[in-house]
Amino acid sequence: MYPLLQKAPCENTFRAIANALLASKACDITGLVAIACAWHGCYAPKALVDLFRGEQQKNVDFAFLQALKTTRVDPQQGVMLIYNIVCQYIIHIQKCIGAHLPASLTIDRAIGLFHVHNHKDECFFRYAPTFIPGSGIVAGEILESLWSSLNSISPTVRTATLPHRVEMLDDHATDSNRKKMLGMATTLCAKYREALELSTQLGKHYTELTATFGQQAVEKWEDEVSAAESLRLADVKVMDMYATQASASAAASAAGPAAASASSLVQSAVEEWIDFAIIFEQMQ
Amino acid sequence: MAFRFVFKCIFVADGNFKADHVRQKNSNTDVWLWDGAGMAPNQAEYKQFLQAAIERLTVGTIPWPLPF
Repeated sequence: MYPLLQKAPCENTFRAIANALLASKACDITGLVAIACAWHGCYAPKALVDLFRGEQQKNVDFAFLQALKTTRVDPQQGVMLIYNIVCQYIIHIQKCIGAHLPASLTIDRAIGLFHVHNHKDECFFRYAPTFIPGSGIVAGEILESLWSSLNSISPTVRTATLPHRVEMLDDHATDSNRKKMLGMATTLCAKYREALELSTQLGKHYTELTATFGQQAVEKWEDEVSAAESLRLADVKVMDMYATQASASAAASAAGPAAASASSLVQSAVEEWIDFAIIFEQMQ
Repeated sequence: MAFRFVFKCIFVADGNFKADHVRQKNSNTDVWLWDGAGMAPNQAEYKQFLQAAIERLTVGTIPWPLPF
């Protein structure tokens, strides 16, 4: 059924949603959902939940609520959720768990860079973390690498008793967090050096682009970008301004520069993506 | 509020379908040693939430099954 729907998958079917109602006769638990920190890759305590009938919204709801609670998110600070199908998940979140959420908490949302390309084109501009202020440079796919190490042990507990299974998974997830904690200083130092270098490179790139297109144009785009960013939480459609305007005049005065101004942002995402793909490949 | 964009907690959620579990006989007789003290939630709390949860399936605008 996928080839038929591939054109606009956001309108309808993802595996996560299509499987939502599939119950299995042989299995009493069909999988897991976890919540982890997008930056450091640590599992959030109490948020590694079992799935009983595919990936239903309520399972993720519970995991998200637990993660908010156990990691002590301050409502003033806000929170961002990166999830493969966030464009559909977020629609009902207030109806489903609004009563459990702190009233003043703003939930920003994004889709990981691997998955966002499987959505409609608009989703890229609306939900790619690349375009979201305050998200840093983050791929939002850290759980894929956590899963790859968990997958090497999870088959061994398929036929264990339920408590034993949970204890094993708990153990390995906790161990993963502990290893992360021990290595964090080294990792952050290396990341900081990388960030400085990247920042210099991008700064140079930006200056060159500014010189090419002129200060005035750049200021105009910056105004457009900040206007869109200030409105995006209320109406995510404003982010569509990043898309190239195909219907613009033949002079392409709108389309060309708009694409170029985005390229400095996109480049960092692509680099991030390649880095991640390399790490991922090494781990396999 | 001033520090809002300096640091914001970013969570990633994802499903894993490899970590399934085959139904066992007498699986209710085993003892939970640290139920809800680690990464997995307390079983009773979780079950209770699921039962009370408002079901809202994310459905698209295209009718299913497709009319052709």
